[in-house]
Amino acid sequence: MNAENGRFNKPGEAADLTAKSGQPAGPMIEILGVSKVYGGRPAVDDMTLVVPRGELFAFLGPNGAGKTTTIKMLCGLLRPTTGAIRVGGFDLIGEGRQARATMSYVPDLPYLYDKLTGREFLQFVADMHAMEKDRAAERIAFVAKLFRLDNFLDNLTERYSHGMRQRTVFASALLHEPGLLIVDEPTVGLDPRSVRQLKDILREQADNGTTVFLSSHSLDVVEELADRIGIINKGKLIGLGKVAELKTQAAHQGSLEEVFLRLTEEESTTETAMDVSGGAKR
Amino acid sequence: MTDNAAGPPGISNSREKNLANGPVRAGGAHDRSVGALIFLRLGARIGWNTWKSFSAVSLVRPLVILVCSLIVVLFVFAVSFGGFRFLVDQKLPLGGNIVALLFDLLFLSLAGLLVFSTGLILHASLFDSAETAFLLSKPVDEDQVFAYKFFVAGSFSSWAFLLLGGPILVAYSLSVGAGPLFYIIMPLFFIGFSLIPASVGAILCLLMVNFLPRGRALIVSLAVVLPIAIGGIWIGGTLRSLRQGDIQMGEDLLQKTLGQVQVASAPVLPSYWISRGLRAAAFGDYSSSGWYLALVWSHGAFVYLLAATLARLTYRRGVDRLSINPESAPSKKPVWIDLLFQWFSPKDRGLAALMLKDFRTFRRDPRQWGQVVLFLGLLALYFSNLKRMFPKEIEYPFQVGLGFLNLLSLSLLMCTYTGRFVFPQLSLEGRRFWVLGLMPIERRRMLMAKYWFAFYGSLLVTLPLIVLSDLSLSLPLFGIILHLYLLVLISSGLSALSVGLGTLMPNFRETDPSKIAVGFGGTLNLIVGLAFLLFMLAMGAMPWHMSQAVGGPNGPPRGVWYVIGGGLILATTLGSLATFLALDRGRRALDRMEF
Repeated sequence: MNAENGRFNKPGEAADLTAKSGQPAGPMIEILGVSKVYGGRPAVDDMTLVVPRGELFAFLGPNGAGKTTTIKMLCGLLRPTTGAIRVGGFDLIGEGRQARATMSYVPDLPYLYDKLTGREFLQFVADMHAMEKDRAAERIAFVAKLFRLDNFLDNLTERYSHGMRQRTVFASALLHEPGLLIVDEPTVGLDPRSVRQLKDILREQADNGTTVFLSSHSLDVVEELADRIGIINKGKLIGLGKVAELKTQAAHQGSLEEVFLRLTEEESTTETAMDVSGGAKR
Repeated sequence: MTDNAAGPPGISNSREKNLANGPVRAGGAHDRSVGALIFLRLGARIGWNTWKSFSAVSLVRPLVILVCSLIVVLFVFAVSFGGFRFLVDQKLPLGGNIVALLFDLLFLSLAGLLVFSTGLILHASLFDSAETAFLLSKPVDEDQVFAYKFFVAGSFSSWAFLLLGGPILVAYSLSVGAGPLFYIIMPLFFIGFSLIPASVGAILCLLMVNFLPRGRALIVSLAVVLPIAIGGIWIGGTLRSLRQGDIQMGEDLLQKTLGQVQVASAPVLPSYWISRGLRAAAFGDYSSSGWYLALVWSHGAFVYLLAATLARLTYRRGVDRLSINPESAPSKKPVWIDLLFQWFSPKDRGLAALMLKDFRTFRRDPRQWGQVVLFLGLLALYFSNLKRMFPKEIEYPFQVGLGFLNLLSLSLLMCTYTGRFVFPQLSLEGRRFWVLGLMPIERRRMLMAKYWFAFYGSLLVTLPLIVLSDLSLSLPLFGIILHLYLLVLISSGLSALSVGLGTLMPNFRETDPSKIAVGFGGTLNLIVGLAFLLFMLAMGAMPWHMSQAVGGPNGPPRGVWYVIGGGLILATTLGSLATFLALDRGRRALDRMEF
């Protein structure tokens, strides 16, 4: 979608390009009127969301609210039933490879090849992103230092602990300097020092122009890091804005946890009331 | 903030620059695809690291695999070589129609297996794998991921092709005195030919995932049952036509047989091309052989291109479709098959609950039970048509001999079943052992639940089949009872061995049961199981069958009964010992096990 006029560019239609990089300008994530239906029931329901470049956007919602479905659509793993998604100006259906080259995704249960060493895995990811050999070596050395991988980088990943695996996956995600970093529950299983470091890195990435799309149940992490927060419940985006704006929306000045509970509770209560009174079900 | 914030490579400190120009991309432009070389390197690296980790621990595992493969190859070679020598002794030309037909049938049946196995493996690796989800989130094209997984699946499923087809053709080439060029051409034919059925399997897999209507379990089941039914009708028709009374023995029989299986020699079939091409190469007719080789490769490449194009167009769509169109939720009401299973289960409630859990897991995975149904269906078909293969006055010694071979084939099936499905069960339990581990049930009972599940499952399929076989062969009542008794003993021993060894050598890292089954523990379990069942049959069944074959249905002399009785006592002792020791060792290992 064009950030100024709200119009969504068709696949193949040129987005505004900056002169220097050839990268499309405009927002990093454009989700326009997206729905995803599973067996007749919407997991994501007519969602519209635009995230600008360099923003750390946090995505909150109760279990089964549609967060993972949204993220999978954003990565191109699932297709919207209706609506369209662009990443970095590239349409995910028509220009999927270019869109995926722009991003990195760290799932809640990341995959590593057990029979590769950490270094070999990083090299494989670099190869998939068609990085120049010297550049890849330079970046591997950098991310290995950044995530303190040096002590085990040449061991097979099957011997890694959960925390080591998580750090290796993050290193691979930052290897090609993505424009968009999508992370799903990044702090699960990490020790306090690693959590602190990860928070610093995510913030730093956003400060340097990378869009970070963070899905988490750790409200303290979200409150500390996020520029903006989106709250999804039953497939619908029910809250969007900075923490202060969400507090206004919820008419509650408590913590983010209380605001989150109030917003999602309101939604459930409204629906229950509709059900009881014979109102339409979604 | 980390200490690298001062200006590490790749992380620019200029927020304005990045925001204005968009993020800097490190890699080359992604207007072209990364090459297939990456996946070749990945495969080679994983293979090399796997070999290193095998050999770093011990050379026993690769050696056992190598020796077992060699035994299979040598056995197939010896049987084939003997067969070809027999044809030569019978003055049948090795370049003639009979050998051509045999090769046509061999390659046609191997092609059928390749379609089936490649389709199944690809379904799991393309649509139900964490690796492909990872790869699909990267900037690679769908057909490249498909190509990578296709060649992995093709290599896995072609393994049997190599182990069976290789030694048969080497035996043939030695029998006809083929030149050295034959041995260069042969692998080229193999690879080109494998491409065709493997690609067909891939196309079927992609089409099924993308276009089948709902109720996929039912349709997958039909996909298993229908080929059996069609094959059954064909084989049944062939066997019926060979009954005495319809035809005379001798040349007439031969002509009739050739006529029934002539479909395997249709010139449009790739099995015909490889069969004719290899025979031409064996006799030094390299120009004909080259023509058939080109035919095989051009069609192989073309069908593969079709499969890759289909993957490019529909792979992501299929992934998406599977996610939005999952299997229907299991019924909340009791299902008859579960009730039936519970009725047969032990009365111990905890034990019965554990067994029901394993049974539900098994029956809800068509890929698991589909293989059992396929083999059992073929065996049932063979047993039910057994008598029709022979003239009415088939001699008694042959009836008894066939009865023994059928007992052996059922025991081998049981050995495969317990190795493939029972051995991996405890390993698969490992990652979720906290569920069972925290329950107020002794670990010993968990082990026993797995044993009873395997034991009942084996008996349920093998006892009716052996009765069917023995009745078809009109064996005496003692023979039927003996077979039933031995199958109970063998089933108990094999189940206990698989449960016990599976507990002694678990693999908690692997989630794919087929990979656990072909690992070191699984291979060892298979060898131990084979040795056990061969000993059981040699002690328990061989004396009676030999005495019947020699002495006829009137029974052996009194002295031979002592041998039969002694053999049965030995078999009973071994069967009981195997059951007791394997379960006891397994129980001790499970008690000590930490998760």
